[in-house]
Amino acid sequence: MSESRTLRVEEYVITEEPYYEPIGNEIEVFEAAYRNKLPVMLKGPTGCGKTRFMQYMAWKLKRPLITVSCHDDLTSSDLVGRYLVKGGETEWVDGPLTKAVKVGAICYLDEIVEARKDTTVVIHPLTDDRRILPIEKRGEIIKAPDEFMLAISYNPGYQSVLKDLKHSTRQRFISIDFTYPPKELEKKIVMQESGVDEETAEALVTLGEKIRNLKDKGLEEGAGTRLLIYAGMLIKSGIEPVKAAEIAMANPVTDDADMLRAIRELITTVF
Amino acid sequence: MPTFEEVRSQLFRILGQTSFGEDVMDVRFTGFHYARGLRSIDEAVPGLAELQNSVLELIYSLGEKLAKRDKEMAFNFFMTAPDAVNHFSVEDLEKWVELGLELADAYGVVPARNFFKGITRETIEKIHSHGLEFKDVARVLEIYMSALSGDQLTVQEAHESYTDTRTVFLPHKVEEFESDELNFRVYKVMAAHRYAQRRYRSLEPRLNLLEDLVNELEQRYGRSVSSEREGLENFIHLFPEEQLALDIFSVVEGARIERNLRREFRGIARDMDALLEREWERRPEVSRLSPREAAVEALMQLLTYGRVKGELSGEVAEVVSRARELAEEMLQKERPSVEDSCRVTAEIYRLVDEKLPPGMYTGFRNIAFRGVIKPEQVTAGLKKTKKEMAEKLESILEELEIEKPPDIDSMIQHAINEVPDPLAYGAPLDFLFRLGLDIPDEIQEELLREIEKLLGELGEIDASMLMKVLDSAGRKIRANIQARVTEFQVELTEEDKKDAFLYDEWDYKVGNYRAAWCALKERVMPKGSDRFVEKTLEKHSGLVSLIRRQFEMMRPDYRRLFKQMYGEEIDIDAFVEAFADIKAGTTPSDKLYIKIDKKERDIAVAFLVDLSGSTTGWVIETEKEALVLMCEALEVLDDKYAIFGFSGKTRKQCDFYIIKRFDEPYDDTVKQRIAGMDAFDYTRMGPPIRHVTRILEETPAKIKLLIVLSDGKPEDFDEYKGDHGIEDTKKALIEAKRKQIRPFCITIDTEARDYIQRMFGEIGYIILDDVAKLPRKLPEIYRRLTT
Repeated sequence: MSESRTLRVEEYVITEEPYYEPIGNEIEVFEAAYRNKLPVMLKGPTGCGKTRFMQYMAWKLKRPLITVSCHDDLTSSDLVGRYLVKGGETEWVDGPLTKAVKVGAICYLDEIVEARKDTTVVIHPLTDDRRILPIEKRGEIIKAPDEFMLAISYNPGYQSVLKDLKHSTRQRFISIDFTYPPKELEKKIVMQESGVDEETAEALVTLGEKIRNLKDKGLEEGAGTRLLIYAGMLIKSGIEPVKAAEIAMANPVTDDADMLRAIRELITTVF
Repeated sequence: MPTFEEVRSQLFRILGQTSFGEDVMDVRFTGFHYARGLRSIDEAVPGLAELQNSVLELIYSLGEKLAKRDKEMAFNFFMTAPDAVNHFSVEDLEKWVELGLELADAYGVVPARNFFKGITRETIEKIHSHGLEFKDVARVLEIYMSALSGDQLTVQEAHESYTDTRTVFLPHKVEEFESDELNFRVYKVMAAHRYAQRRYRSLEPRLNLLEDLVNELEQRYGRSVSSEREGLENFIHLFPEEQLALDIFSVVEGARIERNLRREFRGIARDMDALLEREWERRPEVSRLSPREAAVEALMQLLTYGRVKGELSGEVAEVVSRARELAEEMLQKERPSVEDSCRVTAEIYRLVDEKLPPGMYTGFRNIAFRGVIKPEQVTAGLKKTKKEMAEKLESILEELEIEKPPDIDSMIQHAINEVPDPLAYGAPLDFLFRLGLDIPDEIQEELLREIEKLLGELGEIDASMLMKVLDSAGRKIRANIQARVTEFQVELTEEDKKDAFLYDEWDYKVGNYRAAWCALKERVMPKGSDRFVEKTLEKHSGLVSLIRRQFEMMRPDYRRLFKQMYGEEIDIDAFVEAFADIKAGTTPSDKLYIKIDKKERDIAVAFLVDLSGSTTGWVIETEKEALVLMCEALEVLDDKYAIFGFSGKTRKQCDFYIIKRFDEPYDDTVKQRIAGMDAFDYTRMGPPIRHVTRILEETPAKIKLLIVLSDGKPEDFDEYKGDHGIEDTKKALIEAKRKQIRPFCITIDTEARDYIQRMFGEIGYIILDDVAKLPRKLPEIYRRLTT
């Protein structure tokens, strides 16, 4: 068993190069944004490598990466920080955003639309040329060092009017579009990440492609590369391919009985 | 056992009357005018009273189902039921009722009434027959094919299985096996095999690559090619014995594509093997066939199974062994093409023709899942594709203001023939270039990406794929070029302005509004049939209950709102934080409570339906059905909703139809207005959107939604088309958004992607590829939009 380690978030520096295959010029764009101190929005469907890209860029730019997964009860104190009482004394504890600003880390707010709208407003002053974080409770303003960078991810596939990103937030970011990688590249990624042989990877990618054809025809989103890799991992650990694909690629994408049946038939066509 | 009275009262409850029957024509002679052949429900009671209570319960529920459709049908059912119980199991009883209902759907209630009068041998056979019907698995097969082919092929039922390169036809029923699971496999392999015919370009041999062979055959057999026929039909036509040639081709080509299919889709190979094994039993012994038949059959058996059933006579054996050599030599090639198959076919045909006596050749039946090849259908399919291509090209050229070449059809044919390597990456661009379309650099890359995806799905470049390429190139070019707008001005008269709401219109070329440009008048939608809603609910009864259930789940739950000023509970987290703040000497927050709140949903939604002329018929009817289902669903929630329609002709006459106002209940009046919805004139979208915006503005709600149901571009009789219409609509939507209204568009125009995104933004729309899906999709979309 590998041992677990506890790190402080700001110490989470990625020292080993994460595996990442660029699809276009996203690395250069991100680097340019970093140099120009511009915040970045990563846009794209689930499981196409947004989070991995962030890890890769953090490694490449040698900055700590602080990731916050947003949810609808996330308050601004959760991001900025709060006072805690310890043994009768009060102590101020920085939130992840404040920590990131202080140490000049990359702060990555994952699935930003999930957060309450009043929460997202606290990032606004950080995103324009002021690059400051006001901490109201302490009456302080922290000026971000040049190394600090803010990135958010956003999946436009949700299509809920209740969960769209406000324009005032959106327009503060430059946006990098992510899509599923082209066939050959995706095959390479699946092989590398799951360790399956070329033939299996090819079949998984073909299957993924076929399932994605069903988007907008009853599927809200196709099977992302991540699911392909999961299926590959299951196969690698000895699960029968048809079963593995069913568990990892059919069941997660839909509940519609006919759709499931059709996807299962696709699986048994490919494997 | 139930008592006579119990049964009788149940029957009365279900049927609601005591006697049934129709007029008897010869009452005059009987003298009993009042008898008229009437039968009382009492006649049904004794038989039913004999039955077990559990069986009776089922009979009642089935009877109730029938009574909803027709009382007399249900009565006949009750009369016959005791007899039916002797013949049928419980499942069969249900099947029996289903059959009757299907009959009523297809031919009306009268034959269905007769159906239940007795049980015929035919009925019994129908109920006891096994087999899987196409309609029971149609949706799964449709999704399967759509995924496999990237939406290039659809499925449809027919007598046999074949494809015309556009649609895959599958048999009405498969009854090879006892179990439906295995029967489904037959369907699946058939579908995959037809897909393979497209993928490996089996039906589109290019005769220009076979020029030498074609010349040779023309000389040898004295037949010739014609532009009336497409490649495959032409090729087969070159042989005097067309059937023989087609059979040889289907054997050789079948072997080629199956080899490819097996390599690329390992799973389907397993299924094919299972079916092949079973089929072996049924293959005829070659010794029983005439020489030519034996040769074709033996070749098929050898290429598929590697062995032959029965003994071949000397002559035939020689021919077959040479034929096999030829075919296998071809299959050994790195990447054999359909043209290679054609060459081999010609050689084998010659062998058979020269060495074997004609005798009786009644044709050859291939392995069932291979289906049949219908050259004339292929020609028809390809012609259709090419015709669409020509139309598309014409419209693009017209828009580009390029002069149309005199013979566009032969130009297209030529361009298709000239596509050098059917697997080449840049080939489609070359094709477009040959059509005289200069693709601007900025869209080239995008186009190439799209093509690459198509190639992934369809393998080789064929006519339909080139059609797609042309299609997307056209869309891109069009979006890239500013459309001309002709000026068209008519002054509004006082008459026009009377009782009208005047709205501005955005002129994008001037970059300003034209003040009070459009006169919009509110009209109440005339009432239509009062049966429409009822019928719709009947038709979609299953769906209605599903949607209701789904919407019930959306009803706001009690929700705990943290950090509130007031509330029922203390928020411990907030309290601790405040305590820490006090300790630290900063001002604590006074939001320390948890409020239990259920009024989370405060939504007002306005549906705005495009009633332009193009929606006539099927589209508008389906939209109406969808609205009925939507209303049923919305009644479950407390969301406020309104339905409006719009159409009109020029800026003088923008009609805004009221179907349901926000403050009107969903009652008979509204239902009749939905029924009364009809298609009118044009689609000037700006003014109605501005008007709904005004209405929504006056409606208090936290979230305001505007859902537009549309079937095409904004377009009016005057200059309101092209960019002008799109830009004005876009502006109207921006105005709406400014007032905190969220617009969303559902369109059935599959060409909409380019303009709709400009108007509604990246996530503000959905394109339905099939209007029939609207009744199911509309509530689903609404649900997704608001949760």
